[in-house]
Amino acid sequence: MVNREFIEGFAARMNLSAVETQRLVHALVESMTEMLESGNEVNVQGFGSFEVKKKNERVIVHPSTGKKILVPPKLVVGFKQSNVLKSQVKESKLQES
Amino acid sequence: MAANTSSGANLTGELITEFAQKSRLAKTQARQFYREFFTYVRESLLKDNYLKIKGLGTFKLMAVGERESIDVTTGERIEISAHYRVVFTPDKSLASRVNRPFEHFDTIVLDEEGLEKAEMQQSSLVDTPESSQKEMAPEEKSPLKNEEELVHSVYLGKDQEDVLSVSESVISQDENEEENEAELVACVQSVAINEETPQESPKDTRETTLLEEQVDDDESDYTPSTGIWWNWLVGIVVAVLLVSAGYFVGYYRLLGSTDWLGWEVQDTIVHPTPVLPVKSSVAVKQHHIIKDDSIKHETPALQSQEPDWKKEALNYPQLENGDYWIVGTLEEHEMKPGDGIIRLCMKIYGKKEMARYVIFYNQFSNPDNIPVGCKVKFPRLVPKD
Repeated sequence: MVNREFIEGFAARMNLSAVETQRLVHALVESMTEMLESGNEVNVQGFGSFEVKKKNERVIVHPSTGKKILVPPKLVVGFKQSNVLKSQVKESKLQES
Repeated sequence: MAANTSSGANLTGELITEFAQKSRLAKTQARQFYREFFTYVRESLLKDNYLKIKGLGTFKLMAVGERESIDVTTGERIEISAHYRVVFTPDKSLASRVNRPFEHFDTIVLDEEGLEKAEMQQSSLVDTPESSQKEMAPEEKSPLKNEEELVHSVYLGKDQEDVLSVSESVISQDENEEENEAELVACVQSVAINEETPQESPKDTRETTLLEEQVDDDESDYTPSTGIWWNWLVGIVVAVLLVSAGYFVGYYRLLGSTDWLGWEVQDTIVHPTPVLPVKSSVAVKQHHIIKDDSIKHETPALQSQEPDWKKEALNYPQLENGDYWIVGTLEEHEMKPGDGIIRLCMKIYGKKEMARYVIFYNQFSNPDNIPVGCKVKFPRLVPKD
């Protein structure tokens, strides 16, 4: 499902215009981004948590050139689903089949 | 909100507050929206196994095969049936914002021959004495034990100088002997740091302190406490030595009789000058030209009349504010890995200053990054009188 479909569906659910829901979703996403930028994790009860993890630099061999390359360290966003979500997914998928 | 660790509740509370402010909603409305949002995310994801949210990222449901495992309580073999896992990939904008502290770090190509090539590729064409000093300092020390240590010591630095002194202390305090990659990392890391512009160092200070707080605390235990003054002293001594060495190299160059390697420039020039019957005035002028330009290759055409360089120069595009005319191509060189314009200029002209002519002549948009295999034309340069 792409962003547009999601917004349209969510707008209907919330009884708002698509434009308005997009604006609100954007604001929410922005708040989450700011939290993550400052290194804090975003924990959504019953869904999961988004946290910032550091990846160390490492030396790899470039597949095509065959040269050794030093990949710099970086900070990435990781997501961990909550147990509630896990069981919800399981149940839902079981129902499907 | 359900029972939660106090820190977790505070963070969510903060998030809601921030969201409410941005969206101009009341706090209760904001919380409601937030909850509904993630509920709908789950529902949508279950529908299509895929959900993309602009600005945030993509959620996918990945199928996971069944596998055998051990029951934690009984210790017996258990079969975990096939199921689905929620996987999240951040959006590009989110990823880059989160990675801001490291955004200036580029991947670097390493070479077995060692540091030099990595340094050359990393540093810009104009090597300042400062950056070359900093590159050389770690080389003289004994190598690192652990890449990770260095990386962390690098984070802890408050500014570039501190960073370097810290990494130096890591190196000098270590007793292990581990060559190659560790050394490369040391050198290359300090070079990478040096790449950051001076204006940005205040920003980096903030960000490095931020990292200090978040990043695993045990690793940040590495702080040079007692050794720091000693390291400063050593750094200064080394710097002084390098400056004096650099001065002497420059001194010899100024004399004009030797090129930067200390070799007699005349030797390399003499060869191309043929022993041909030629007007003495031309010979003198030739010699004059050669001595000034240190061009060691091609002989100028031995015409009987004096070549009018100024006239010749009209045929070629000229560099503004230059002391030399560009009169054709002297040599064409195919770039190999590790070649640099400045080094090639030294080899061909005997002077680094000619590099700007070369760049101008070839119209390079990015002279720091000329691809391997590119054929670079080195212009023939004649001094303006």
